[in-house]
Amino acid sequence: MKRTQIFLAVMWSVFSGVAITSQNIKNTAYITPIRALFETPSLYDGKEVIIKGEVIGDIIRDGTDYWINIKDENGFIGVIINSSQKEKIRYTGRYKMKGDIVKVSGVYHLHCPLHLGERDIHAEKFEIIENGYEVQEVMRTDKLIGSVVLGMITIFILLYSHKKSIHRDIYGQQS
Amino acid sequence: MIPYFSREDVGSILHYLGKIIKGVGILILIPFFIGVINKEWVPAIDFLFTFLLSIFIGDTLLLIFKEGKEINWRQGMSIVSLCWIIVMFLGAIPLYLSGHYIGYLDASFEAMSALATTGLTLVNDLDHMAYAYNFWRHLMCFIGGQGIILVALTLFVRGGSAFKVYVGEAREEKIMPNIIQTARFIWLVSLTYLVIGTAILFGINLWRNISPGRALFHAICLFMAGWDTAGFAVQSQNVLYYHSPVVELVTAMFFLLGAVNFGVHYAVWTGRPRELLRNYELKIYIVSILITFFLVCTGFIIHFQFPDFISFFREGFYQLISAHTGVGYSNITFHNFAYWPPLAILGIIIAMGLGGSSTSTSGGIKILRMGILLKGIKKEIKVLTSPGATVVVERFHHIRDIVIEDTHIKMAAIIIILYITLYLTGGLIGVFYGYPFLPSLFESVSASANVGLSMGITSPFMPTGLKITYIIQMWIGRLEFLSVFVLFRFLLSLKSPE
Repeated sequence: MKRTQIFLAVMWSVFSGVAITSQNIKNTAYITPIRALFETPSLYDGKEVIIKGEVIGDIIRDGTDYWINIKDENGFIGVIINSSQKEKIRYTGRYKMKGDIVKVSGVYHLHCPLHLGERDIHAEKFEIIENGYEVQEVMRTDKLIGSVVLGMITIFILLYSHKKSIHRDIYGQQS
Repeated sequence: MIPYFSREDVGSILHYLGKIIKGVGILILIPFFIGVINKEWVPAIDFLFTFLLSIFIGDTLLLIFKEGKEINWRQGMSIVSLCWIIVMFLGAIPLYLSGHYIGYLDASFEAMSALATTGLTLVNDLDHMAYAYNFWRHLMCFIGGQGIILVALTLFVRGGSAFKVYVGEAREEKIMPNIIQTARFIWLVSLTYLVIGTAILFGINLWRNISPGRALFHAICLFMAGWDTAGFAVQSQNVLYYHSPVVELVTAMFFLLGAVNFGVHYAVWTGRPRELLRNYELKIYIVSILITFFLVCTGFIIHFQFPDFISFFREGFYQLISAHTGVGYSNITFHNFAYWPPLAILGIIIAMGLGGSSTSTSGGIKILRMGILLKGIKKEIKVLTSPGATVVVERFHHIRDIVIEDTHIKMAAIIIILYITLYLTGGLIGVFYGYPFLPSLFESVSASANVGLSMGITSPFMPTGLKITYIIQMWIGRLEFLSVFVLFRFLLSLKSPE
C-alpha cells in the first residue's frame, strides 16, 4: 500500500512537472531563460520559444539574413533575423555601450538543419523592449594619483641609474 | 646532484629577471596605445600604471644586481620558471583593474592561461570589455605562445646564455645553428602567418558586414590566439560567435599550422617540401588525429542525434582538432558536452593529453615523444625476439635521420609519465572538490596540456583551491617540468646553508 502511494506520488510529480513546462512553452507570455535552452534542449527543440536579452557585438551577415547574438543573465544564443528586423536595432552591447534589449519569438533548433547543425533561433517576432545607450567611463582618481607618483619614482630611478652608468664609464668598475 | 645556489646565482637570476620585466613593460605600451586610439581612457591609465610599475621593478633589479658572467644551466632554468610567474602577476594587474574579474587571483589565472596558451577563462562580461584589455589578453597569448624567453632572446640575451634559457622554455631543438637566429626565424614565420591570417580573417569579417575597425580587431585577436594555440576569443561565445563554417575552417587551418614543428616550417621555407612527407612526427600526428576521431565517431554511433553527417563533423572534428592541437577554440558551448557520449569525451581527453608537435606552439605530451616511445617498444620487442648477438637499430626521420638511443627513450618516457601524473593529480583534486571524475579529468588535462576546452567546471565560482591547482598545472605543463624542478631546488637551497 505504502509503495503504491509513493509510486503514485512520484508519477504525479513527474507528469505535473512536464505539464507545467509544456504549458509554459506554449504560453506566449513565458520568457525562456537562454540557459534552459542549453541545459534541457530536448524540451525546447523544434518548438517556438520566447527569449529576452541584450544584443551584443556585431550584426553579422549570412546571405540575405543576419546573425545577432543575444545574451541574458546566464547565457547567450545566436538568432537569425531578416533585414527589416535588423533595421530596428540601434545599439549593440560592447565597451561603453549597452545594447538594445530585445524580445524574440521563434523556433529553437538544437541542431539547425539550415545552418549546419548550429543551436539557433529563427526569429519570427522581434521587438525592441528597451533601447540601448552609451555608458560613460568613470575615471578613478586613486589610479591617476598612483600612476603619477609611480611615474615620478621611475623617472628618478632611471636618472639615477643613468648617472651611475656614466660615472662607471668614466671612472671604471672600481669606483 | 644539482649544486646549491650561490649568491652569484641569485644575483644573475634577478638581473635577468629585471631585463625581462622591463621588456614586458615595453610590450604593455601596445595595449596602452590601443586604449588611447580608441579613447578608452580608464584602460589607458591602467596600462600606464602597469608599464611604470614594470619599468620601476625592472630598473631597480638592474640597479642592484649587476650582470655577472655567462649564466649557467641552473640559473637559466630558474630564470625561465620564475619569469613566467612574475610576468603572470604583472600581466594580471591591468586585468584586475578592469573590474572584469572577481579578484586578483582570477586575473592571475587569466594571465597564466593566456601566457601558457591554455585559454581557460574566468572573465566576467567579456562582451563589454574594452579593446585595450581584450587586446592585452590576446597579446599575452602571442607572447606566451612564442615564449617569453624567445621574446627576450630576440631583444637582449646574448651569447651562450641564450641556449640555456631557450631550452628551459620547453624547446630542445635548435632549428638553425645559432639560437638567436632560431628565435628570429620563429618570429619571422609567426609574423608572416600573422599578416596572412589577419588579412584573410579581416576579409571574411568585412564581407560579413562587420565594421572595418572591429573586423580588423577580431581578425588580429582570433589569429594570435589561434596560431599560438591559446583559444581565447574576443567574445564570450568563442568561435561560435561568428556562426560561420568559413571562419572555423580558416582558424582550423592556422592552428594546425601552429601545431607543426617550426623545424618542418623551416624545411619547407628553405625549399625542402619533401620533409612534409618524410617527417615521422607529422606522420604520427596524422595517425593520432585519425585514431582519436575514430573514438569520437564510435562514441556517437549509438547516440547520433545530428540532422546530417556534416553537422556532426562540424561539431565533432572541430572540437577534436582544437583539442589535439591544444588550441581550445570551440564552436559549441560547454553544455553541448552534456550529450557527448563518454567514449567521445575520452577521445577528446586523449587528444588533449597528447598535444601537438615538439618545438611548436602546442602543449601536452607532444607527438614526437609518443613516437619515440613507440619506436622504443618496437626496438625492445625486436631485441627480445632476435638471436643474442643481434644489434637492433631503430631510426626515424625528423628533419634529419635519427638513430634511437636509450637516452631518447628514457627522456620521452619520463616526460610522458610526469604528464600523466600531472593529469591524474589535477583530476583527483577536482574529484576531491566534489566534481564527477570524467569532467574533472577533462578539465585537468585541458589545463595541464594548455588546451582550454571546458566541460563547465572552470568558472569564476569554482573553489579557490582548484583555481590555484589549474594555475600550477598550466605553468608546469607549459614549461614541461624541468625548469620548474630546478626552481624548486633553487628555492630549497635558499633555506639551506651552502
